[in-house]
Amino acid sequence: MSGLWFAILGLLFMAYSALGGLDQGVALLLPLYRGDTGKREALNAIGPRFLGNEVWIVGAVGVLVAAFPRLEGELFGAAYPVVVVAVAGLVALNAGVQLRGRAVRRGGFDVLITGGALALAVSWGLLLGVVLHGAPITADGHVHGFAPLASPAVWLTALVNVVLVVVNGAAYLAWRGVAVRAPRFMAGAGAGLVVVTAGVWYAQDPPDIRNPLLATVLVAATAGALLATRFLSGGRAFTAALVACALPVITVGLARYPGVLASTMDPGATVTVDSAAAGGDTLRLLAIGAAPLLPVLVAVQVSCWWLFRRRESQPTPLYW
Amino acid sequence: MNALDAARWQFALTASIHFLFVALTLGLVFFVASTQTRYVRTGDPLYGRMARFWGSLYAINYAVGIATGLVMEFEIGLNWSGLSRLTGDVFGAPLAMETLVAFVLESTLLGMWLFGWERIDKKLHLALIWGVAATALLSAFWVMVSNAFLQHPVGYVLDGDGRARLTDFTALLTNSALWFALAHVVAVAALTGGMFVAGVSAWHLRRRPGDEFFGRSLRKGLHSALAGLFFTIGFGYAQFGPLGANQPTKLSGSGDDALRLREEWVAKHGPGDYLPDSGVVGGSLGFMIMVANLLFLILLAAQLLTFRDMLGTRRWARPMLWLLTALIPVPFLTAIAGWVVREEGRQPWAVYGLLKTADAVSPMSDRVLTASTIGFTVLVAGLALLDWWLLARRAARGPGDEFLPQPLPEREEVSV
Repeated sequence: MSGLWFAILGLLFMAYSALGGLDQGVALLLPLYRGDTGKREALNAIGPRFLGNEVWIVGAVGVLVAAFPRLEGELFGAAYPVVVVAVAGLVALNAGVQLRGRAVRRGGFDVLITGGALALAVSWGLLLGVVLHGAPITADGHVHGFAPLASPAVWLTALVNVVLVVVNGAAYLAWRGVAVRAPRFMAGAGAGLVVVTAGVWYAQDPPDIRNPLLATVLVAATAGALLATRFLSGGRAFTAALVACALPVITVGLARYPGVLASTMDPGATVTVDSAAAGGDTLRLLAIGAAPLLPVLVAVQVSCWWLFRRRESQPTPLYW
Repeated sequence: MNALDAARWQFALTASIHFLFVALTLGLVFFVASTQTRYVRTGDPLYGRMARFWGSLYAINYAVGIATGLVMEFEIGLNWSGLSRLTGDVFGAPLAMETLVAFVLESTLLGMWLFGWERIDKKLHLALIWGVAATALLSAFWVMVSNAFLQHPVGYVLDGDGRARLTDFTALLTNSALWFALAHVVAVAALTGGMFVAGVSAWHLRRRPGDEFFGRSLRKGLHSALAGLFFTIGFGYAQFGPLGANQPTKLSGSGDDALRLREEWVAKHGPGDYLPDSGVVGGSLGFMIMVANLLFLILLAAQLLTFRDMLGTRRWARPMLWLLTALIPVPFLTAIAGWVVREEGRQPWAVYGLLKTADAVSPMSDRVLTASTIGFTVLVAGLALLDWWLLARRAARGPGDEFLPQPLPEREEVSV
């Protein structure tokens, strides 16, 4: 049962990483649009999907709290400042995008949107980096101090994530017909960075890696998907970018499965899927009460993409 | 400030501000949905404009409501790791249901509703806002299930490590601290939304007496507020029944009975002070009850004045319009007083009789928690001020047609 919930948790985080990444990418590219109309067109290209994209993080954290309370406790403890910054970024991005159209002077909201997205993309990358490299969990089962955040290797992961979301946002905007002149070398440079990050990771010999082969394949797939966005166009390029954004989550989640958060200090203190999971009754209850509704959720999101599949014709009706 | 105080202030402030958004959002969504239903049924464009105008105010409030809710969801993990470690199995399950099933669906549907005006089928579009309303109600339900467990823990056993394991889910759903409180909260939302609509409409009616748009809005708003307040008071008093058995210390005051109760609890749970601050709890309770009764009389008078539209057209009725606008903040203030009774009255327990607040807080340093408290409070309070300013400006500007697509230019689309 804990395996099933770990898979669902992974899917939710992947959905957020891909779809939320697309929002962050668009927000990061926003300064490249000149004038208010251009910026509004870019934001309205996400339009009805924005709220749907953003809520995956709420669902994912909800499952983390309920199904893996210990993982949540240790991960948030090890990366407390990062999580605080991520929440602030989430708030800024969400409030900024939704309120921007209601204000007269919008400069402040543009700063809020782009700054929030940057904070969010960096902290999301840092969180992935902390899980990738392990945290100093002592024998008592708790994390003390924020040592992982001082490691350059963790910050390299954050950089990779920023590149990923920018490529994602650019591919989406191009598909929706409001392309911006994003630097073309981004995809290639991103693929290179992914490989370098993986190299640094292997070289550091992180503790408790169970599935090195799988991790290598996933890293290669991420780099490949990133490169593919360079050679494809339209919906295909965007799909490749979504895949590239989602893959790091599986890579991080499966590299040491059934371990999740490795201890850099005491091999016995590693948090595994089973030791992190809630009790069997709780998981069964969630499986009965929540899991059957996940397909409904996916169906509603798919129908949202389908209902609003047409590009808005000119003059664009703008809401955001 | 020590870590425990910082964490408590942080949660109290963010939760209070978050609830202000929740109450208005939940109240307005049903108002918008029922107005839009009339629009689809009768085809009267005035109802369409009403749904769009009040819907745009709803959307502003929702945007900031999500933001403050996000902060709270993370705060539980960041600052109250003891709560999730020891009771997370029970307490977390309904919260996960709330986020996963209710809230994710609600937001997705709302995004489609905002952009769907005149672009998707009218009936489907109406179904979307009713979907938003239903999932909002479901959210309130699951959150209150979690909260009721904190007030009156049921349906669990303690395992060897002192962790609570869920054994009986039905007990969570039939918790005596749940249903009256849920009905109370939902009625408060109807009151808050109704007072907001009535107050804003009254402001416009003072400037344009006899205005049809705001005349109808005012009448609908008053109905919602009056019905909401009636049930708020009813379900408020109804809670005294189970409360005495569930939480004997909450309203014990500071007399002889209270001292006897304190000794009993010391004998049961070891040394410590088991009585909440009776001044704060009793004062909030008194304030809430007094204000509710006064408000009921005022709303009743306003309702009588709507006879033959006296309120919207007669000059001598204008002080009542002024009063209705001035009373917009009152439901918000009483709602906070209500939560102070419920939450401060539970102290020193995080989970009543099971886990002390001091044991629930994360093992973080004072400095880290104080910093995050200041940061989050500034952020959330700033957002609330921004929200009210945008709401006031949008409300004062009156109805426009902002959701509607601009008319398409007369030309064939040329494919390239």
